[in-house]
Amino acid sequence: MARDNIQFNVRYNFGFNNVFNEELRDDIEGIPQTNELLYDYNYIENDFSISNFSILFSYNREFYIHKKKK
Amino acid sequence: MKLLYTQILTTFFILLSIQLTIAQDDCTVKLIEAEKLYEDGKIEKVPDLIDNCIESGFNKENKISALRLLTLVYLYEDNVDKAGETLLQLLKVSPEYKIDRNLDPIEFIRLYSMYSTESVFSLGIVGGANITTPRLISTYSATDYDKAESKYTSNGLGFSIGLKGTYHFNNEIDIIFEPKFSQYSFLITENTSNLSQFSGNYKKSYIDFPLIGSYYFYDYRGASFYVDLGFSYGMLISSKLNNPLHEFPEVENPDKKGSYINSKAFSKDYLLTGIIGVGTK
Repeated sequence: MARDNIQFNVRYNFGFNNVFNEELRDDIEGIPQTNELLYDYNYIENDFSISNFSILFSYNREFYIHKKKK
Repeated sequence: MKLLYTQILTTFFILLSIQLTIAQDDCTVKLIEAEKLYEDGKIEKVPDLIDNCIESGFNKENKISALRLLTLVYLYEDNVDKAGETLLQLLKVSPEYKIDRNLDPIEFIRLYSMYSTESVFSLGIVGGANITTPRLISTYSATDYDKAESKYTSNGLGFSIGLKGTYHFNNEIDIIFEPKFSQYSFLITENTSNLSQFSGNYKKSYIDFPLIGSYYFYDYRGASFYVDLGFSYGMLISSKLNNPLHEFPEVENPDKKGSYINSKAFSKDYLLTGIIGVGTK
């Protein structure tokens, strides 16, 4: 393995959780931001999750610990 | 005066570089002589000839050749301990040094195999682009749920940048920890009545802490291919709903436009994801 190397990755990240804080669902009007969305934009945020595809490059340096095997 | 100092310094460095070149040339000649002695079987003369040059006088390539030669000499002198020490010296100079099974003597190959010579871990930097694919779980429309037609769609590229630490568990499995800053971008549209629509562009930033296992399954022309499997915990840094817009496309009601709404106040402060992927290096 070369001391320095470049890696290329393609990944899919599957989102498990709801990113809206559902604990606030019953108090939509009590939070300024959700209140603004409701009364200025007639919008209530939904429950949703986020996943993503990513393309990543990495530059890596390898480290060795040379010693006699036991 | 300044000119005089400059001239003295320049002359000094020229002389130093000439001296170094002469010393290196001298050591190169000694290495060639040592290799000839080794081939002629006069191995006892080799260490004295090149020992001093190993300290200083060789370039990296010649130093590696000299240390390999010395290791072989000590092996043939049956001085395995000294051969091992010299091999370790060689690996210090060239940590990624690999034996040539077709050219190297079997004694050298055997000694090399007695030492850990593979990389233990790697550190690096990582960066890239992402496309967010949001998924609606439940609709909570201010009007009729059935007519809301809430849509969450990707909107351009986000990015990630961070650090990468890899522990080489064995030749086939790596354990990767890759903390990075990631920004995700996506669009929401929803009907808020028969005549009106809401839209906005989300930008969410997290510090992601993925832990990934990589399994190497194929090598081709020096490139290794692997599959990734893991999970990630993302810590929410910021969340903005940019350009919120409530519009009435078919009637003359005035639109309501905004700059942004800080959506962190109603967002979960974490993001859990499962990871699958492929890669090469």
